[in-house]
Amino acid sequence: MLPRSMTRRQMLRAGGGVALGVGGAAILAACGETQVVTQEKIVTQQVEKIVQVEKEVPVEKVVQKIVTKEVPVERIVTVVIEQPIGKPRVRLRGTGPLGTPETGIFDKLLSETQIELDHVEQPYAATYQSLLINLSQGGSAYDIASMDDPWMPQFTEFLADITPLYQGFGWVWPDPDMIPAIVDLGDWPPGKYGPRAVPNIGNIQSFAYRTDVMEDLGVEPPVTWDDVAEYSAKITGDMAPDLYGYTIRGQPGNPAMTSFLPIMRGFGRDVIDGDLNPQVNTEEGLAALDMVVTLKNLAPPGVENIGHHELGKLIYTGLAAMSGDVWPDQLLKMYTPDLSKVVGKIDVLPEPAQPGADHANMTGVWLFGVPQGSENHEAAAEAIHWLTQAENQKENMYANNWPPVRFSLMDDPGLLADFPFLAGIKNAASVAVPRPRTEHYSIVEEIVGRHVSAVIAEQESVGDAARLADEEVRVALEEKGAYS
Amino acid sequence: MLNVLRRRRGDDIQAIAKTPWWELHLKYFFIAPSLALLAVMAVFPAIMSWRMAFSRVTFKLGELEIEPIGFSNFTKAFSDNLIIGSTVRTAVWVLVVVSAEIVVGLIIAFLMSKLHSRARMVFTAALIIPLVLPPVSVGAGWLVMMDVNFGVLNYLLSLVGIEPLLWLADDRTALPSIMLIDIWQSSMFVFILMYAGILSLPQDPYEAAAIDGASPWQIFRDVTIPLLRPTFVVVLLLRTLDAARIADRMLAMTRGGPGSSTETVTLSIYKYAFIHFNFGYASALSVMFQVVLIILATFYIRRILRT
Repeated sequence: MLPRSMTRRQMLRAGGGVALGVGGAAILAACGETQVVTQEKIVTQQVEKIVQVEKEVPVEKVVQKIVTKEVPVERIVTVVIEQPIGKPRVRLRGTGPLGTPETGIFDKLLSETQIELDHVEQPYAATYQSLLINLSQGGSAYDIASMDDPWMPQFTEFLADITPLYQGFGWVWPDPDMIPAIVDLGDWPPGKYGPRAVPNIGNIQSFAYRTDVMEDLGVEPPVTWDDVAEYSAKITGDMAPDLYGYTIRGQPGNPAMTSFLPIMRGFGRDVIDGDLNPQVNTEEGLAALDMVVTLKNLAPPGVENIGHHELGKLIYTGLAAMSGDVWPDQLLKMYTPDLSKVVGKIDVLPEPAQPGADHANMTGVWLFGVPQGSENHEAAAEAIHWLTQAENQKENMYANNWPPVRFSLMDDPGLLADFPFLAGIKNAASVAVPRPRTEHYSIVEEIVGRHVSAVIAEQESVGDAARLADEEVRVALEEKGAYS
Repeated sequence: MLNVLRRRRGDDIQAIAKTPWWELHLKYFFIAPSLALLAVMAVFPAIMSWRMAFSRVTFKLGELEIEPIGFSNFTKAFSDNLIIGSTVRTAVWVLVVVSAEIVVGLIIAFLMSKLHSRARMVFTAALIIPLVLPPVSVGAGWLVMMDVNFGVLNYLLSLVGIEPLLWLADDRTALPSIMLIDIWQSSMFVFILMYAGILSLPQDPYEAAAIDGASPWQIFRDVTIPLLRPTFVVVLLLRTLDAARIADRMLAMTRGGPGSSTETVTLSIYKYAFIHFNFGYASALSVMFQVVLIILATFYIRRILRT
């Protein structure tokens, strides 16, 4: 009778024996002679016919000899060429807006340059965090980084210099066809590290308004923020709840700040000055916050918690007549008949400004850079050069509504016919300024944006919000050593 | 008898002495990969987090500059109005959602236990659907439904003559609105645990209560609830820890707003870490939060062991 129980040692030994047996059998099997079976298949039989004609013979004596020769059928061999002779294929990884794979732009890049680009799609905040960690730690996770222009002051020192990379291919940088104000965004602090990024998407914030509503009011389009408030009061007073005068983003942080900044600048001051001193609690800052409260009270209900997409929707569904926080992707929706109730009724302008203050549209340009930690600097530069060529920028305008950064495309009659608002964006670009250029901008944006949101939600008074915003910005920047 | 035992123990000692060393220590070999993974994924980051909590952290190309600054990061938290507000809000959040989820989960579980087995299967399958949805997707879906101007909820309210609500756009209703969503989703988790608890209860006390003439409410209050105490403690432990860490829902729906009316501790930590790049302060906040959660967890676990 077999034993019913087993000690642990016996079990281990038995297990070891079985494992050795199985492993040994596998090794022996692997070492055995391998028989390769090939299959030959006769595809066709070649027959050669040779015709000989005797020369200089009378016609009646023409003899025709036909010889049929059998040729042995040979095995057909297929040779697979894995790689074209010449340039080897390079595989790159990039993140941020690079292109839309569905349009086939990456396939075209591959066929023309032998560069395969893996697109790592991430939301805005995740792209920023991912790039911050990878770039600052010298990581090689990405070969191409697509970055929003406010990030540049933080990232320039972690990016490779564009000039020598372009010169290596015999290309000129800066490209004379690109808008200089946009090209300059890639160089921070100006002249310190040299150009570190190439602009790709000429995103400019603009003031959009309903042309039909202005005609009904019998007024010219607004020039100052006071005009905006006056017209909004009339529109909301006469037509709400069907139509409201103005709309603004109320979510804290980036959304509220992006809606507030053109108003603050339109009153003649920025949120921080050149020495990074906070400026919200100033006469102009307080007036700008008062204007925010006025406009919010004339806006559709619920703007306290809206972001970028919701703001666009309020305009293209015909619920709001004006906003100073409109971007090209929203304009495209306003011009799309399937979505929009206001097709052909929207025009864009430079941001309003109070008398004596400059019109200041905000840039939201996206730029390509090559991380210093990348192991493919040359290939990355080549891909960036290819992606920013006029033909490919034009393709991206049609595919993604990414405004170009080239003069030649801003004046392109075909593009202007298809995207009538491009002319307005070009005008806005002429007065566009970037957000405050400091590596601490995200901190300023979070703090001021939170307090502007609190003002919009009536959680804080204008005076308290301005004071708290300035105090918190100063403390946070002091901790960062910004004033030392 | 004692001699027999002594002899057996002696045999065991002799057997161990004869066992090769590799066989004695083989267990360590088997758990080594898991330990190594745990060290890399959990222990090392935790140690780094504690180290950063006492430091000023600066990003340099290819390195992190960590300069010790003592307890400054910890003392700062006690005068940070944003953190004080977030802490109070998180405490209210935990108290409300966990209590409501336990009540809702228990009621559903109790009702479900009274249903016919086929009906139970159908309802259970339907009820766990919210549980398998990712919180961010749920947040995005509810955000659309709660839209003030275009949302279906206000449309339904308008059908019965109720004025539209501002839902997430009013600082008085924003947090309660997100609480409602959390209760809708997480009550199903509580329901599953409670339902399993109810099905495993012994029948004797119920029979005794019935013989004594107890009413259904008395049976529920005096028999079911006390017997379910171990389940309650487990639910409380799991849901409290999970609810305290809430951030994703707020990030997807309100970004902590309007103002800071839906900002929780974890969301504030996230903002200090990834918007302010103040990793030292964010780590100190994380460490303090971690300590509070460990104290809570220890309290609950002791209750579990006692019950």
